[in-house]
Amino acid sequence: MPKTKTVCRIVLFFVVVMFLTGCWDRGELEDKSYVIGLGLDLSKQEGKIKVTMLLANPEVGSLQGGGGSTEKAREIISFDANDFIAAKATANSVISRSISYELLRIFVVSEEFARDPNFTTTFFEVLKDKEIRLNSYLAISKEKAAEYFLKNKPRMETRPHKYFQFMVDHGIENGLIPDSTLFRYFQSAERETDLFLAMYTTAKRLDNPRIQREDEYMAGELNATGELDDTQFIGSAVFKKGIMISKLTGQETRTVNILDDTTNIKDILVNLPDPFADDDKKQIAARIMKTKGNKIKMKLKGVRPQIYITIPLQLEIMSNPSKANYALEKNRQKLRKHIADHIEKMNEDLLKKSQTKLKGVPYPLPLYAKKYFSTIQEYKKFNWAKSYLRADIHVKAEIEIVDYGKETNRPIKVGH
Amino acid sequence: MRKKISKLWKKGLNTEPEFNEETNTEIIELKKQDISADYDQNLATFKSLFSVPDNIDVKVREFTITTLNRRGFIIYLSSMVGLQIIMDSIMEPLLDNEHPAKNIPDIVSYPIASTKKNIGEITEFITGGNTALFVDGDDQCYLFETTQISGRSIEKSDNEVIVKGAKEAFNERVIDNIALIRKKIKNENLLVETQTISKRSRNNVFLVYQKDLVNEELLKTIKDKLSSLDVDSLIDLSILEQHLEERPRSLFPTLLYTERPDRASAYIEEGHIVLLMENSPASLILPATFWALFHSPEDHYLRTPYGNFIRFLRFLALFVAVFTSSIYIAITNFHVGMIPPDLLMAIAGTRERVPFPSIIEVLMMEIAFELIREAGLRVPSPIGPTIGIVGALILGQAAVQANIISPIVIIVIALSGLSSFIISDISMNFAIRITRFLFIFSAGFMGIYGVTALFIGGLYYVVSLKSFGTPYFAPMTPHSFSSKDLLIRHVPMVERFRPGYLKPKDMVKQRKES
Repeated sequence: MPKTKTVCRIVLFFVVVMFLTGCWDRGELEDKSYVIGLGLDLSKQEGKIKVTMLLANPEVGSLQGGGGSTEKAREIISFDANDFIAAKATANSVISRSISYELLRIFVVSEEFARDPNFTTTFFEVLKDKEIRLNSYLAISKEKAAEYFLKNKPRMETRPHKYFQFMVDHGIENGLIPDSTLFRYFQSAERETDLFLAMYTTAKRLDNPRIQREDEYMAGELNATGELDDTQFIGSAVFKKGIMISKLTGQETRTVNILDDTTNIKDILVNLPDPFADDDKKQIAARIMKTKGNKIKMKLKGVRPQIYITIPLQLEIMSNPSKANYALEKNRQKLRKHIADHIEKMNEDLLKKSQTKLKGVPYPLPLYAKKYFSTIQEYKKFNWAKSYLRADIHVKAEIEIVDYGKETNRPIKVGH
Repeated sequence: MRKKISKLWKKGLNTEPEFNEETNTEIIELKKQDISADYDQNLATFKSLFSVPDNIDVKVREFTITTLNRRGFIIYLSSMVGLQIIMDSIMEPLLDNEHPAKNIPDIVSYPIASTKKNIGEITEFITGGNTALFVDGDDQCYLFETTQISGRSIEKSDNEVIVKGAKEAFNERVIDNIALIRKKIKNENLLVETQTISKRSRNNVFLVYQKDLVNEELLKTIKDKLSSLDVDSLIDLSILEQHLEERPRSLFPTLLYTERPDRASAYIEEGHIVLLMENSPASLILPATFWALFHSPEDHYLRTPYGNFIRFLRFLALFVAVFTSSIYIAITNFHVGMIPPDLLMAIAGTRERVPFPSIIEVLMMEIAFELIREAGLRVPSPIGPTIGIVGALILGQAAVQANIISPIVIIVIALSGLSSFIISDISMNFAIRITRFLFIFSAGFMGIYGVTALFIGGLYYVVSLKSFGTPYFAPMTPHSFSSKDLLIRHVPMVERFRPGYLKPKDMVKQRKES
């Protein structure tokens, strides 16, 4: 009977399809313990790593009223393991529930381990675990990651996942730390032509930090006092081919973030030197907004490749310490010129540093070079990583000042 | 060999014994005959047919017609006729007429009258509330339509409530129902045909349609289907609905059952056929598509943006009702990474002390909700439903405090339960509620994959449904010409065509102004 045959076939088809799917891993969500942060350190024993897990307790802080729990909001566990995937099982000898990486937000790797040549082999396992999502962040801690998690005690955010979410999101918006998702890390490590920036953090404050300009700090250098948590997120660690080689300050990180069109910085507040001041000390506060993408042109044919970068920026002037009269077109032009010069110099300094000290461009600039070649082979032959080092880079800042701030009552005439 | 085995198998399965009717061939034969001119014979025949002394509401009255000076009798069912009418319009002229006249029609001036000869037919009319007059020496019987049955008056529609638009609903008297439709369509082409569909109770069904619109083929299919029914009794339209459906075991309804005359007449105007029955406070519209079951008359009564707004709400409610519980289960059991960490933490935190797996939890609450809903419906008072919903919420609250149910499940169930109320068609409503359970099981079994697979399979099935040859999702798929009143409706000026799947005699509702 043909009908029975068809029905049998359809049933068989469905049964086979069911077995092909991977949906048999049903589990109740309260059976699991969620790892929010994963710390990686070098172990004392050769070839092993020290894994630190920051686990969140769902019972704390998530219920509105109705019998709050007296349990702690988090649990931290450190132990030596071969890798951090099998470590899930090991951790269960201490943690009552099954370990899940599904909420993993941040990897904290100690600077020591990140500089180790074996770091990539360990870290590339991330790609093997299907629970880990590539939009989680990579951060580099100055101290050991195990210590970092222990010392990090946020006062306002009891729930660890919330703390890292807010800290990282706002840091990226301000441009002080790079948008260092794992996705970007692996992309850059596989391209091998450009450098990757990971956010730099520490939970230890320096004893006597030097006071600098608002964004020239590294993590731990900001001398904040009061009742607060010592953890600081500022600056970045530079990775070349997946291994850390250097560090950038907050200001340099910001500059890279402005140059990099693939990150989403919002408006950032900066201090700029005041052109109308008598001395160098007076600075004006401004809000920099980047609304348009950079324009990049390259001439790659010659001995020294030429790269032209135009950065369109919008500025809002927010303070006027020298009380200059911005109503005058002359003053406006002077201000605009001065800011453009300043920004151009900052960018050129950074790119120079990247050519000499870092030996690579810290953001995906090579992507723009690709279109100047008709085939991939030609591009490879061009060898960006080497050619970049002898390139002439010209940065031009197109400054548009959208707001000069409030007019002060008695403008003092300066600049005549 | 194989055939033989399957035959034997079928025989073995068929456990129904054979029943033979006790013979009443005598009466059947009698009904086929005509009445005689003999007065006494007729009297005896009908007295025996209606078992007169035993059957208390059958009244036979013998008298002499003065003008003709002949004997005569009337027979009627006292419970179904207007006695005053018989007294004034039939008896009085027959007894007291002083003017010379030769024929009964000249004497009795009752407006609705007919003559019949066949005994069977006459019996039918008498059971329908007519009064039959037999005159000595006449070989025909005079029938007067004196039916007067008490029933409900025209009331507000209870089950299909709308805010803007006509409020009246069909009632149990088919005459009123036809009048309600006629009131809206004043056209001589509006036909009301009747057809007897059951043999013993002789229930009539009334086909109402526009003669110059309806597709003849469709009409013939429906008439054939009606006359092919071989049942003793069919007392209600909702039972007829099940007889007419192509797939009576299917979850999804394929005929539109409505109690609103405005809706019925709107469909008649589009070329549909409407069935009415005595004793049924509703009408049956055929063929019906998914869209007919999904739309509400208010969509068109409201102004276009508002009408579309409630349509979107209804569409959303459809999905919320079907999918919320199953997606909750799928996400919390299989795809934990899909929800924001805060929500995940909140769910995990509240589920901490709940003893059951989330699928049991959801099923428990779903069943509780259905129980409360059904109980609320049967509470004999208009406040019943209110008590039901309030009861559900209180029950939920208590269940949460007793750590049996987590509060998120209450939200999920309340949302999907309330959304299911938005689908106003009762059959569609049931279909949605039952599919919800199927989706819950498939989600508990295979997560989002299961939900998707069932949805796709279900969609295949639903698309394959037909209602009197009309595909369920016509005119969207298969596409046919229409005024595109599907998910969104246009302004009435743009809706110029009747649905193409009906093949009406006149496609254009409104001609374009030239």
